[in-house]
Amino acid sequence: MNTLEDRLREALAERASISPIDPGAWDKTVTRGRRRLDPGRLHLSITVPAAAAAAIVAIAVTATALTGGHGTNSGTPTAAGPTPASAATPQRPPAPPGRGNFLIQSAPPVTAIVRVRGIGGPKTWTFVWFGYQKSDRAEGIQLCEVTDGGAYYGGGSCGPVSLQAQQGFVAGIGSVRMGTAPRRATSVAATLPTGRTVKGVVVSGNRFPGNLWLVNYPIADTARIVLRDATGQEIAHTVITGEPPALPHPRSGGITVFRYRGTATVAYLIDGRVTFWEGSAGIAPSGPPSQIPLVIFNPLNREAGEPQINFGYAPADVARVALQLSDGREFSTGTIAGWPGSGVRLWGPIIMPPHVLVTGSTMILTYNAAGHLLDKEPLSKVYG
Amino acid sequence: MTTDLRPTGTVSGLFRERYPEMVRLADLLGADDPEDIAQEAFARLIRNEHTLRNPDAAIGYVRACVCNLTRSRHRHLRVVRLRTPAAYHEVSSEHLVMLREDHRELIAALDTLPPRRREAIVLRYWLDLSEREIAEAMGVSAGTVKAHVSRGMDALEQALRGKL
Repeated sequence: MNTLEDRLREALAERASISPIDPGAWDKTVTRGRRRLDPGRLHLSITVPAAAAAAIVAIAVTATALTGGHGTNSGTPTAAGPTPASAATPQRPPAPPGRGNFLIQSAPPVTAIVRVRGIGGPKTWTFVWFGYQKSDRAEGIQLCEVTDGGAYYGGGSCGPVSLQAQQGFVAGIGSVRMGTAPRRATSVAATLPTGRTVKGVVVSGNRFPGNLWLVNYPIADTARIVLRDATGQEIAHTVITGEPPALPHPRSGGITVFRYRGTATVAYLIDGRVTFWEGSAGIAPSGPPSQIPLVIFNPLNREAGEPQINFGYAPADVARVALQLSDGREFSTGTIAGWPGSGVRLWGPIIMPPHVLVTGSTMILTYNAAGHLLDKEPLSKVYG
Repeated sequence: MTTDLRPTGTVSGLFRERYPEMVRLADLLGADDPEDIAQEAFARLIRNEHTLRNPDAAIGYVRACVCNLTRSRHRHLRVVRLRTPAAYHEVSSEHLVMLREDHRELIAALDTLPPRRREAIVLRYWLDLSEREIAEAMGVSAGTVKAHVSRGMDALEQALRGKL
């Protein structure tokens, strides 16, 4: 046996030893094994969550900020109301997100995936569906969207419907806003501060718990969203406050926290708040370190196969930060000094394997220089 | 006609004993979601168990499924890459940093091999399978396995020599 073969055996054994194993794999496999052969069971597995979804969304829609009068039920067309699609939109749409898409994997559809043409701009297609977070069903039904074509490369987002309904909208990709709507809603429009009205679309799909509205306008604008029925009567409205303008990129005072694939993530202290910049994009928590002592950022808009990069800041006595999954596995990184007198240390990256899903129930642990545990909180409490 | 869909003791026992191995095999072959591949392979066994004449052939069947499914994922991801130029797909990079330096080089070189050569080498040197077993898993002849292993090892040697 030659040396290369020995080394290869050792290297393969070492590499194999760090593959994570899901303790719930057997149940998932049995469910999957039954799925294709038993149409009766397949039907059950889809209709049960959809029924639950309908109940949840019915409550959420009642509690929404959307208010208004009554109208006649027009029935639910698959895509009602004016479509913003331009003549330049290609006739052949991109394929809907498949099994390899990260969002499909994290919140597998329990409804049809409906595609909406041109909502994100000419030549774009937005795909929407409802599903449950695979790793945390307790988060409730999620509304997910992916936009492809034009300037988009299949990014998107998922969010719990109840929260979105309370806010009257879903933070979508780019400037696309969306939210749940009563079944009788057939059209939606956003009125901007200038008086300009932007029309959107109302869509529904197989097993959708309700209708869905989508409209695209500049996110800095505060807009009045109005839903109408087939007769043109207003049935609900809400006001969505515009988002503050993007942060100007500071020219000095930055601390490079880490580099990943050629892009530096740099932290700045601006007006008492820690702000991170990844290339030309800046992100900041909503409060200063004294109010939010531990902050984590992790980008959710990623393709399957792309690792998840986590970073943030921590109090001055924290020497190491770790993320602990529900199966006990920990991923950690050390901290580096922040700005003198700021009481802040910076940390990152914690690189999570592509198939690991970080959720609100993932624990974040902090340790001091002696290795003693300082704090342990679920991520849902410390999201930046 | 109704099919009995309950997995038999044979499958559950096999799963208990060999599931981690199949996850690791998919991982070593470069699957972006090794658990998904391994689960699908066992799910296919559950669906097709009644067609297996020899229960001892079950693990070979699952192994072949893992190889085929991983290859299919690679093909799919190549298409995704063409469609999403902005996205990164260096699946195993985060695992590489956890390895010993010399092992890291070797695994990185293995990652660059064509899928069939990589499969043959992993099955040969990690699972210690015979040429016949590798041929069954890959769906090729024993002679083809020999060629893949030999060319793969040559390529690894050359890659490592280039690092010196």
